[in-house]
Order: sequence, then structure tokens, then C-alpha cells
Amino acid sequence: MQPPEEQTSDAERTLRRVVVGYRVVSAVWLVLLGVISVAGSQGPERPGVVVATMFLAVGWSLVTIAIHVRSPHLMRSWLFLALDTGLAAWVLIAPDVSGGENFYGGYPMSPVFLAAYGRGVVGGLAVAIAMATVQLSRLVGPADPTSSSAAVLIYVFAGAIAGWAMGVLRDADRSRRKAESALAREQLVRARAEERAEMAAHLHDSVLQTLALIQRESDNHAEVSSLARRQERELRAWLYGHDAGGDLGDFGEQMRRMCAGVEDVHHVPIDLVTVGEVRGDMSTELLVQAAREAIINAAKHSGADHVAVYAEALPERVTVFVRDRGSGFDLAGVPPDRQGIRESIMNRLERIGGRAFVRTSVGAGTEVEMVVER
Amino acid sequence: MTVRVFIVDDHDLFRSGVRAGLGDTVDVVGEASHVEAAVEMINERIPDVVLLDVHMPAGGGKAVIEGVKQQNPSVEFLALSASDAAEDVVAIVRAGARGYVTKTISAEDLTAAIGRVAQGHAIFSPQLAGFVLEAFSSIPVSEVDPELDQLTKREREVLQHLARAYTYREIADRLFISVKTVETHVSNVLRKLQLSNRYELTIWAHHRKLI
Repeated sequence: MQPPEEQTSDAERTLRRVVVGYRVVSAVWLVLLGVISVAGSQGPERPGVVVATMFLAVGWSLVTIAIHVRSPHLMRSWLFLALDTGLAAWVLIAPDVSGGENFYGGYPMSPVFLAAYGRGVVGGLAVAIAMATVQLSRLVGPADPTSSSAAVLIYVFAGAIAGWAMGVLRDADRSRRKAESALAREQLVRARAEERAEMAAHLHDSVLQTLALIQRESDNHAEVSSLARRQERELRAWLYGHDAGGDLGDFGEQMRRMCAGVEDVHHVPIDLVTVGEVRGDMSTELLVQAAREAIINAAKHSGADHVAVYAEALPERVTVFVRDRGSGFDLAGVPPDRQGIRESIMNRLERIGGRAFVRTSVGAGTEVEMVVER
Repeated sequence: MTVRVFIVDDHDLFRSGVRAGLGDTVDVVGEASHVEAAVEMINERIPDVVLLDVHMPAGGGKAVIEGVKQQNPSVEFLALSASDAAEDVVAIVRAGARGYVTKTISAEDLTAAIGRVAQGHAIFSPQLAGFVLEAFSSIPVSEVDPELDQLTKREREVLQHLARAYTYREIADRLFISVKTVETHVSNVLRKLQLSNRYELTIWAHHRKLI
């Protein structure tokens, strides 16, 4: 798991780019100095060591770039920092081994910066002290005490200051982002509240209009009750949040929407009860369409004053019952128009491997049961 | 004998509507619009059935049931609500109501429901049946009856038919049992709903409240 700031923060990425950039520059610097040293009139006793070090520095820099791009969190690991420091230590003593002049340039400073980046002041100082120790141990070699102790001071200062500065930059960045996200949250809350207030205003307006319509249509019973039902649905959706909006929503949501649509068009109250939750998909959508055919059929032909719908979504099967207490009919002598309805239900169900059963008799109403195994 | 009914609802318009709708099929012995007055008057007049609004200030219908049941356990409650929020409905039934119907119920059906409740039967509207099925749905079905925590297969079947808007008579015919047996099943479901401390029920109610 990567620390989130590495994924999100621009500041973090910039810091990393700077330390890795310095590494690349110092590697190039080292190669130039190495070439000059090998090609020079007083070349090293063992030029192979210089060439190998050049390849090593360039190769490791490429690895560092890869880590920087692919998995930056590794740059915080002590293992990486230890390897990096070890290699830099080798670079520092390579001139002594090769028996030639110094050719490391700025390279030995780069692990200090990387450690300061990865582990702050502690990391920066630890690596600085390690590098300084290596530098001091070179006293046996060609370096003179004055310049070596100056180099030690530079390492330690560089480590401490780099670590501290990066810490300060990070803190500033973090508090800025915190302020930004608080602001964004506040804006979101305000936007939601505004949206709700707008909804409420719209609803109040629509309630008033419904009331006006009801007064005007007061002798048209069916119209009045359908107006009231529609208004009730709107209010409920607002109060209890039965409003998925965008996507297909869950199966219950699909059923609710379908029933609302049929109610509006056919002016017959539909009492819907849903149990269970399954996600809506093509299969449930076709089942809803089949149920719609059954409900419309009941609304148009049964003469019942309302239709009861029960939708049960279990993990293994989804079932819809459409029940009316209307005229019913004789299943054996089904008139052709009913046959058509049955086909339109069956067609939809067959596509999703579903089945339908009809229970009816004259005078006892009708129940259509539609089942889809999942 | 006409049933003595008391109406508790904080909407005046609705109270008078119910009263007018019931006419003289029942004997309305009083009405109240808030919890405290309701508890006091019910304990004084001891009606057979209280029609109870689920949502009211100061504790709602639940507080009324709690205030009356201790002193007068014989008083039955039928919850009426405009709300479709399952947790409210299940909560009031768990508090001791004999059933729940929506406020859109016809006067005729309401009279019938009051009669049943007065005889100590449970009233399950299709909605309530659906809520209860859902509440128990996380609990596996079992053929045997492990007191309280599960619904038996038969109880579940009866509930499912109630949710499909079948009457007790129709359920009895379909399942080849007597109406009396259907009533017993429904009463058992009600008892389980009221008495079960089943963890899942609490979790379910909690979950619903969060949505």
C-alpha cells in the first residue's frame, strides 16, 4: 500500500523529480570526469575500474528512474537507501582503487539527497554520516585532511538541510491540501443542501398545482385519485430517497419506476411490495417488462379498482406476482386478445429463461406469476 | 357488540376523516393528538382497539403503546401510517401493535381490520408482510420451529401470500389449511417479531435506518 500523498500530491512528485534529477545529472557528470580521466595523459593505473564504475553509476541511475516512475514508495525503503549509499561509497573510493584522479564529481552527494527525500532529516543525516565516514577513511589515500574535513561538513549540512527543507515543503503542501479538501467538502455539502432546497421548492409548487387540479377535476374520481397518487409518489421519493437517478438501480427500483409509469398512464392504483435486493441487469429489466404487460392487462381488462404487485428478489430467483380482483376469465377458453397478452409476457420471459403461470377463474380475479431463476 | 375505538393522530384532518369513514360501525370513545394526552385518556377509558399513528412528536406511537400496555395489557393497537419506512413499521409492531395498515386503506377494510384486532388477531397488510419477510430473510428457513429466531417454511409461505394481497380465506384455500390455522401462523409470526432479540433483526433495522 502506497502512502496516499505519493499518489495525489504534485509537491511530492516535484521533490522526487528534483532528487532523482540530481542523481542523473551527477551520474552524467561522473561519466564525463571518468572519460577525461581515462583518456588523459596521466591515466589511472587500472582504467577498467573507472569504466566499470561508470557503467555501475549509469545502470543504478536507470534503476532509480524506473523506481521513481513505477513504484516510488520503494524510495522510502531502507534497503533501497542502503544499496544506494553502498554504491556511492564505492564510487567515492573507486579512484583510490583505480590508482588515478578523483572522477566522482557530485555523485557521492546524491544518496544524501535521496535519503533526505525518503526519510527526512534522520535519513539525510544517517547517509551523510556514512558518506563522511567513507570520505574520512580515504585519509590513508591521496586526499588531504583539510579538504576531507570540509567535505564531511558539507555532507552533514547538506543532509540536515535537505531533510529539513523537504519536511517544511511537505508540511506546507499538506496543510494547503487539507484546507482545499475542507473547502471542497463544504462546497459539496452546500451544493447538496441547495439541491434539496430546490427540490423542496419544486415539490411545493407541484403540490399546489396538484391541489388546484384536484379542485377543478373534483367530480372525476379516477383523475383525482391518480393525481393524488402521483403527488404521493413524488413526495415519498423525496422523503425516503427512492430515487436512484442515473443507472439501472436495483431490481426494486426498476419495479417502482415501471409501476409509477403504468399508474400515470392507466389511472389504476398499483400497490407494490418488494422484498430483497438484487442489482438490476438485462434479465431483471426483461422481467420488469413482462410484469408491465401483466399489470397493463389487469388494469385494462379486469375491471379491478387496483392491482397488487409483489416482487421478491432472492439470490437464486426473482419472482413477480401480479394480482387483480377483477373479472377473471376461463383459462381453457382464452379469447384471442388474452392470448396475445400471454405471448407478449412469455416472449420476454423466454429470452431470460423465465416462466409464467396464470391462476384465474371467472369472478375470482387473476394472478400472473413470473419467475426467473438466477 | 360494537368495538370501542380510540384514535391517536397528530393530524386533525386525518382523525376526523377516519372518524367519518368509520361512521357507526364502531364506537369511537375518544381521540387524542399527542402522546401524553393519549396515554392518559386511553388508560382512563380502556378502549378495545387504539388506532395509532406511527409518527408523532415526543416518542411517536411507540411511546403510547409503552405507556398503556403496562397498566392495561388488554388494549390492542393497530398502527396506521403514511410512512413506508420499514424500520418505523417494524419498530411499532415490535413495541406491541397487533398490526399495521397504510393510511390509504379504505374505510371498509379499516373496519374489518379493527374487528380482527379486537379479537386479538394480527393484521398484516401486504407491506407489513413484505417488511417482515425482508427482516427475517437473512435468517435461513427451517422445517422445524426453533422458537422465535426463524420463520418456519409454512409461516414464510403464509407471509408471502399476504404480501401477494391474498385474504386469509384465499390463503387457507390455496394451502389446504383452515382459516384458523392461517390466523395461528400469522399470530406466531407477530409473536416472533415482537419477542425475538435476534441479532439479525436489530442489525437489519439499524441498516435500514442508515439508508
